[in-house]
Order: sequence, then C-alpha cells, then structure tokens
Amino acid sequence: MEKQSASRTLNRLATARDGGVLVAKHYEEVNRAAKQGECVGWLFAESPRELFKVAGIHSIASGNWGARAGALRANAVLLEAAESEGFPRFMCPYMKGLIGHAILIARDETDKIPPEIRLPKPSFMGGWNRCSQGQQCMEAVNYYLKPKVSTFVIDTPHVYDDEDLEKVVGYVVLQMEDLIGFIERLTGRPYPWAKLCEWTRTIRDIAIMREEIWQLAQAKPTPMTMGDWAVALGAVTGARDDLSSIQFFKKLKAEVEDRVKNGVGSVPDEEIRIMWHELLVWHSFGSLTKAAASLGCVMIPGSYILWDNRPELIDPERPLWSMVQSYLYVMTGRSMEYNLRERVKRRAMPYNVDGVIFSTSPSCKNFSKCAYALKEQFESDTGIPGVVVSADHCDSRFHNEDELEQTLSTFIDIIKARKDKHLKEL
Amino acid sequence: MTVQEPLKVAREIALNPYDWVQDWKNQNRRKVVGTFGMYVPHELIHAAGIQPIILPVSDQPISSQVDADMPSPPYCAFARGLLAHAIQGELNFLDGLAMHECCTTACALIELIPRRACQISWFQPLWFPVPLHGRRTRQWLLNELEGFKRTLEQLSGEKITEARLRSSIGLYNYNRTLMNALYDLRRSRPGIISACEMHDVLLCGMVMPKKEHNLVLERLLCLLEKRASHSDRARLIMSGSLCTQPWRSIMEVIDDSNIAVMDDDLYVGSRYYVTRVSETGDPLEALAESYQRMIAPCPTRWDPDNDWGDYVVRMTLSAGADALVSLIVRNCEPHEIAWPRVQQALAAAEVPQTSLQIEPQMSTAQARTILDALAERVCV
Repeated sequence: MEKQSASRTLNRLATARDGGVLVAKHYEEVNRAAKQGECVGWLFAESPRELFKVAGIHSIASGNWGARAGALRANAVLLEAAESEGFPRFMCPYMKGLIGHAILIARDETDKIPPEIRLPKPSFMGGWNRCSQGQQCMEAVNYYLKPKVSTFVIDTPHVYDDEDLEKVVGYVVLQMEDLIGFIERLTGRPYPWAKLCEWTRTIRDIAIMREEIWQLAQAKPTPMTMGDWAVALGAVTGARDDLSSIQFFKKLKAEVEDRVKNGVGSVPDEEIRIMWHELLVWHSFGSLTKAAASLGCVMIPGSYILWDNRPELIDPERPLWSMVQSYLYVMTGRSMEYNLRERVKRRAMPYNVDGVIFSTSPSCKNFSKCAYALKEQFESDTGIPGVVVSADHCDSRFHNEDELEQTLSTFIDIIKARKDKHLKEL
Repeated sequence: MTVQEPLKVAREIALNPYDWVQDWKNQNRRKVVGTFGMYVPHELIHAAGIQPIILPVSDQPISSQVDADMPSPPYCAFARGLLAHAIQGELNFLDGLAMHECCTTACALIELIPRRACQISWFQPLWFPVPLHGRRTRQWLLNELEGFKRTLEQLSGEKITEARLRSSIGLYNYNRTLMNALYDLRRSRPGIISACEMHDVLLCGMVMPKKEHNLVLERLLCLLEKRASHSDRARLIMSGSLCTQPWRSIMEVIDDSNIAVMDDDLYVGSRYYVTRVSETGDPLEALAESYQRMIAPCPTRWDPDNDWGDYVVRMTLSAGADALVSLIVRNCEPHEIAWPRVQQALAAAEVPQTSLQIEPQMSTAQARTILDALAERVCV
C-alpha cells in the first residue's frame, strides 16, 4: 500500500458549503411553520415535495432528513429509541430515525433529539412506495402519534422493461391527480396549477445548470469531488421546494468555471479517478474523499449523489409527468440493464474513470440490490475494474472506518499497478 | 385404509418436492410454472392448463455466489435459498417462473434468477398494487392480470376462456373448503394432527395438482376423525413465515415440545386458504376482488384499517389458544418492521407470545428451549 502523502490535501469548493446552509434554513423554516400552526407533512422515500410547497404546505423528505441526520452523526438517540421498541437493527436508518422521532414525541422526550434534526409533529404523512419500507415506516409512525394523522400512498410499480415505462408513469400520474384533491382539502383552496408549472420551469433550469456543472467537472484535474456534490445534493432534495437554491447553483457553477479556466483541481496531482456508485456513507464521506485525495485519487459522483439529473425529462407544461419521470424513475424502480446503461456507464465513461466502487448498505436493499452482478457486467463490458463495498449508509454506530479506507486504499493500489503495467507494455 | 396413508403421501412429497414435481411433469407431460412472492393467482395459471407450484426452499448451505449476490444481512433466508436452488440448476425443470415483487428482496430475485439460471426461458415479473383499495389500483390490477393471462396463453398455447377460469376458481375454492375443514378440525381437536403432518399436507398442497390434493384431503378428513386429540398440551398459534413454508426442522421441534398447534397465520398455511374467490361474474374481476379484500393483513400491503396485531389476537382468542409464536425469517424486513406493533397488541390483550428467528441450519436446541419455556409458562 502506497504511503499517504500529507501534502495532497483536498481542495474543496467554497460554494459547496452553502448547500448545507440552504438545507439548514429549510428545516428552520419547517419548524417555524409548525410553530405558527401551519401544515407540515412527513414524506417517505423519494417524494417530489414541490407538489405540496407550491400549495403552501411545508414538508420534510425522509431521505434528505435522514441523510443529514447521519452526516451530522446526530441520529443515534433516535435509532436507539426505535430499537428499544423492537425495530430491527438492519433497517433503513432514514426510516428508523423517523420512527424513533415519533416514539420520542409520544414519550414527551423531544428534548433528547439534537435540535439540528428535530422535527415538528406531522399534520399528515405520505409517500411514493419506491421503497417498500416507506409505507411500513409510516404505519409505525402513525401508531405512536396520538391522534393519528391522514396518510396517503402512491403506488409506484417497478419497471422491468423500458417499454412499460409510459404505462407505469401514466398510472402514477393518475394517482397524483387524485392526490391534488387531498392537498386541496388540506389547504381549503384550489390547487395552483399555474404556479406548479412555473415552479417546474425553475426546477428544470436548476437541472440544466447542474448538468452543465457535471460536464464542466469532467475536466482534468476535476474541480469538484464527490464530497462537494454530496453537500450540493442537499440543495437538490432538501431545498427542492425552495427556488432560492437556483442562486446557490449559479454561484457553484461560477466557481467551477473559474477553477476549470485556471486548471485548479480538487486533488493536487490527480492521478486516479474512482466513481462512487449508489449510496453514500453519509457519516464518513468526508474522511473517505480526504483519504483518497492523499493517495492522488479523486472520488467522483455517481448517479445517486447527482440524483441522476435528467433535465430533458422535465417539461414545465407537464409537471406531474415530469416529477414521475425525472425524480422517481431515474433512481430506483428500473431494471439492472437500465441501471448499468443509464446510471453507471453514462456517469462513469465521460469522466474516464479508472475504477468504480459499487456501494451497498446492509440496511438498504433498494439501493444495494444486484451490486455484485452489476459490477461483474460493468467490468466485462468496459474492462474497468470495480469493487463492491458494504457499509451502513447512515448508521455510524457500528461503522468500521478503517476497514472501508483500507478497501479503498487497496483498490487504488490495484488500479495504479495496472496503469503502471499498461504503460510499461506500451 | 388408515390415516397414515394420506399422511404418507403428503410426507413423501414434502420431503422431496422438486423430485416429485419433475416425476409428475414427465408422466403427465404438462408444463409447470413456479411462483415466488405472495398472491400470484394460481387459478389463472391452472386455467392455462399449466401446473402452478409455490417454490419450496430447502435449508441447504449457501454458496459463495449467493453470498456475493444476496449477502445476509440484508437478504432473507428464503430468497437466498431460492437463488441457491436456481444456481444449482434445481429449477431448470420448470417451464417458467412467475414472481410477484411483494418486497424489495423479491425485486432483487427477479433480476438475479434469470441472470444466474438462464435455462428458465419464460419469466414473468408481476406488480400488484401495494395500496389495496381505490379505483386506480383496481384498474392497474385488472390490467396486470389481463397481461399475465395473455403471457400464460402464449406459454401454454391454450386460450384461458371465462369458463375455464371459472372452473379453475371452483376447483381451488373446493380445495380451500377442504383445507378450512382441516383447520376447523385442528382447532376443535387440539393435537389431532401434528405440526410436521400439517406442514407436509400444506407443502404437498403447494406442489400437487389441486384435484389430487383434494382427494388426499377428503381421505385425510375422514380418517383423522378417528384420532385422539391431546388436550393436555400447550395450545399455540403459529404466525409469520410470510413468503413460503418454514423449514420442517422447526415443526419437528414443535412436535417434540409439549405443544399442540391450534391455528396458524402462515402464508403456506391459513393465509393461502382464508380468502375465497367469487365464482360468479367476471372471473378476472373476481380474482382482483379477492386480492383487494384479502382477509389476512399483510405487512407488505397498505391497508391501514386491517391491523395485523388485532388479527392475530382475534385468531388466538377464537381458537382458544394459550399463546402465539411468531416465526420471523431472519432479515425478513416486512415482518421485522411490523413485529413490534404486533407484539404490543398481543401484550395489550395479555396473550403470551414469543418469536423465533428462523434460518437454515438454525440451532434447534435454542428453538426447543424457547418453545419449552413458553409451553411451561402457559401450562402452569
């Protein structure tokens, strides 16, 4: 194993940190709204929250909240509360955290919850069931809340054959049209469709900008690493209902353009590029990217961290269709062939990656399934080496940081050895 | 004829189900489609002239390929076992597989089995709505059943007419009637059939053509009446094991303990038989209706008014049982997440209960200790 170089430190984007500030502001806003008696929803799994925000309803999304709780290493008390009631050890910490939160609300012990992740009691709950734990989690939360709150589930079938996508999208859109009635009953007002179309236009503009940033960051040395993207992801999912995030992305793009123009990279003397595919290890991605940087390796984002940005699937005139196509069915609910083509190769090849890490979590089957088969096929198709790693994406209590960094380091060594051998053969 | 004869038929099939099905297939020259994931409508497969079977899973050791594709955690033992069967070629005799994505694990299997067991050429993934009620979900369900019907017709080369489907539904309903009669008998005469024997009858019913299973059941019901019951044993309800049958080794432990199983809430058990399908009107609509109004609450479905905890409490009390044991397949996420609330419902109703995490090659000694302790507690 190559000795780490102390001189190779990570050069993070200054703007990326603003993404975290944006997300913090979102949760402050949610808590403020609840204190003022406004409606606040808890949404589970991938949920296009702008559908509610446009109508003036605040909400939190389990994925964004849970990831942040894990990244801040603030969720242990919630996970322990859920486990004390018998919920399993290997269960999505995003979901288990919300159950734990409901349990502490029921016990009148919310003072035990770190303020930065504390949520108001929901007025309603709902979700699109791309994740099968979502509706179960919602049932569990409602069990502890007294009185129970209104709930909804939008059925989102898996698409095994791309030819079925249109049919599936149609079914989901019909259910969302019915959901509009639920929103109108909550607000007592007609749904503001024109505003939703306008909102969708801005979301598309943000998506276009993000894609441009992703293309700019292909430069060598890359100006932006997985860690920068991870913080920016918060602004995508958490602030999806806050259009001021467009300012954040404009600023981010300007900083990236400047770096590219001046040849400034995130990793000095960048030698290796490794793409991280699927779930981020939220509590440790910072140290991982630093460890990689010290070995001359830059970690670049896969489609999960990009929330597989697809601006071409966003049509402001068809906002519901856009939400389903560009938010729900770009990440899960698709075949392995689709994932390999659209989510691995499409993101890896333009960056000329030297390797791909296929991340799995023992508490998330949704984003971990078929990782080994995917790696095998990717290696076979491209000749680029891959490795499967397992680390809980959000529960740091049992995480072995050294083991993960050792795996990363060994993988980097293997890549470097192969590159050296290839050069010698030339 | 003694009661041992139909029980022996069931036992021989249950001990080697795949061998039995292959022999049957060769002798009868009929196609066989295996199903995994709950709620695949076997009546529809039967109406195509194809024999449907629920895929039983053995408790054999798991290979490194399975460990790589489906590590534990997070994957459950059933799915890993099924993948192992597929990789070892044990499913190659099947003419097809129909798999319902009842949970995320099933979704992974749907991707992996065709990849690892390429000799199975006909493969039908199914999605039945998770929210059970509503006009949108009914329409999707009907479309899904219609699509499934068409692909079955292509596989069999036979048309599934309304009359054929109604006839299959009638046959399966009669099987339900007989099985429910057996359940009634077991409830009223504790210990009249052992846990292993019931397991064999149930598993036999999952692979044997219903017409033949009905004959076994008719004989069994007649002859079982003459058996003595065991009123001195602890009376237990078995719950859980959501997708397929629990391993026979667990039933052996139950039989060795001082326990009589009064009723069960297993999928290869009462859940499969409790909801009848209407024999009037459009038969596809009837299948859709029976799915949407399923009696046994399922943690993989969204039906907030049908609470699993309340259901098993009612089952326990109406069977006159002393306690409940929940068989939780290790890493079965739907069951593990639902269990705390079920447990609390049982506690609130003062029903003694325990749970067993079941997996292949589990320690039967530990299971025996847990069950003996429960039996002792309730028999005091």
